[in-house]
Amino acid sequence: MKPFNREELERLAFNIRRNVVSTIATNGEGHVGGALSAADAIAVLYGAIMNYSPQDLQHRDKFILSAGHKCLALYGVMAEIGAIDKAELKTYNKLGTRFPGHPDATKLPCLDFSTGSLGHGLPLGCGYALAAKLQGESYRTYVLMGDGEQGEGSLWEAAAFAAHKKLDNLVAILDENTLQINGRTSEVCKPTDFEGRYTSFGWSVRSVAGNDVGALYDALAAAPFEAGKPSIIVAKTIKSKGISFLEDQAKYHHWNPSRESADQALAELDSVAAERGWLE
Amino acid sequence: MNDPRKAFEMKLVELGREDKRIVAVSCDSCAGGGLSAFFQEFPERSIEVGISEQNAVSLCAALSRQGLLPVLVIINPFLTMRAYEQVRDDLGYMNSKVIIVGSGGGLAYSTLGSTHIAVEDVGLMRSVPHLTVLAPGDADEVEFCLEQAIAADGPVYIRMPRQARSAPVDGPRSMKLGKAEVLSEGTDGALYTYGPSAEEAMKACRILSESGTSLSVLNFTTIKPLDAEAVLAHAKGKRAVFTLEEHIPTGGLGSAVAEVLAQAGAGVPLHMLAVPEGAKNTGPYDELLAFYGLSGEEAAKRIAAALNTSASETK
Repeated sequence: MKPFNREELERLAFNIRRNVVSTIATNGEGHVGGALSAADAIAVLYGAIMNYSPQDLQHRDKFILSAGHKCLALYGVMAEIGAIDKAELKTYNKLGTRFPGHPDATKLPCLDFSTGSLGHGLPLGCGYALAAKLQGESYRTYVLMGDGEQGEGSLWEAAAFAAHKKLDNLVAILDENTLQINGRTSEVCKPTDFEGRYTSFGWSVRSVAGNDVGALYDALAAAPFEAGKPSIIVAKTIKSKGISFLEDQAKYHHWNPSRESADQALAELDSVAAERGWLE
Repeated sequence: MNDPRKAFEMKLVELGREDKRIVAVSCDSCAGGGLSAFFQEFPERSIEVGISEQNAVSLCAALSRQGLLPVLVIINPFLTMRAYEQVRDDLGYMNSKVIIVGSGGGLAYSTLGSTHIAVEDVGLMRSVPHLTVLAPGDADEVEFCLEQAIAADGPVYIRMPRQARSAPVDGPRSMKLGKAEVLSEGTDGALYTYGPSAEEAMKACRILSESGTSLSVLNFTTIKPLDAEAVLAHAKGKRAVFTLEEHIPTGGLGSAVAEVLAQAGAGVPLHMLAVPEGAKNTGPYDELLAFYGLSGEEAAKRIAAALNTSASETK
């Protein structure tokens, strides 16, 4: 784990967003909303928290993107930390690309597992966390889930298992951007609050401002919050965070921008970069 | 008569003593699935997941990525159907070395109703990439399959029988992964089968031989990869080919054999002796087999009728 450096992590999150938007601007459609809401958490994980090596599959900390459709953010961070060649992102959406619309670890060994079908990530995370306990390994396992994804029953099978097995080396992040394809999660199907649900399942829960790298760092650095319990960070985020005209709207869950819209998004990023001195 | 589940249980313990990668994973299926002895001898390598099959399959995939070798036992439809997508995505596409064992394949849970029979599993599992599909029938075959599964590359599905059966033939066996076992050689028809149906197939073969009809009987303990060479070689010159299985016609061995025969232009009639789709009769195992025409006696009648028909058509 690296010490907290706000400037560095905000810049990494920004660069992830720029990779997400420029990839879609160049190569067309992708799940932009969730990739942008989760960019800060992914930046903090790979930029400061995780003990990560692209080559050391066995011993590195594990990251499972349970909400696999947010993969542009994952590709974006991989490009920034040098696990992949950024130029290769230009193959996105093209025949034979190693960067499909949901991440494929058989094509990118820098990833820990293929995902895309919702509800697989927490069970996979339980497997990695349990393997560490069985084999005496010290790596941590991080799982990033969506809030719409919480409708999948398999997650709750895993939530019960993780608490029962006292997997305190497992840390989940719930990217609560409050939107899914059909609208507000509260209107689609969200009978109770996520904090209450995970608490009742035996997890240790913290809610944080999920687009604030400082709040995310503090929570991730503090995990496990209680010995003998899995930890979950409910990250209160804004869907499509960072591109003002896309923010907090369900219709940008998946985006196939017009040239004008793409240029507008890139211009907004350019102005942030100019203001912060983050020009490439 | 020997108990296939007991054979599985003892063999797993024996293999577990040699191979420390093996972990046994139960979905509340420890006793019924033949894991109790392993759990007792190796508690540190035994994982109870509870009644949560989807979680169990994905979890095993991750365990295997860290070098462990999970043997996951679940009652058949809850593995092959409820958790199908986990099997396809997390084991198949990822080529995760996990052994999944579906307890009570076919009509084994004959009294428990349609929710507990597994007569679509072979078709489903045959469609999963990288997955080897094995279907033993008696204790010797169970031991053979478990050994082979441990040694094989990639994920393996074992369709476990439940009832104690006799070996389909006396004497030493010639089992080989990926190869059909020739149980009998004949000239009139070819009968292809697997699992507990192999014993019924040999009963049918003996009944028919009394009336002068001789059958080649092949036991396809490995269903995928299918021994296509044997399918074609033993169909050659026969009046008809038959498949006998506790599975619906769609996707099972009958389907697999049809694919091979048709693509090779074999031009031999194929009769699928199978469980009809949507079958939900229940009762004692042997009686249910007979009800669906899958017992040795009933199969012999159906084969004789088909061969007579094709003989008269030939004339």
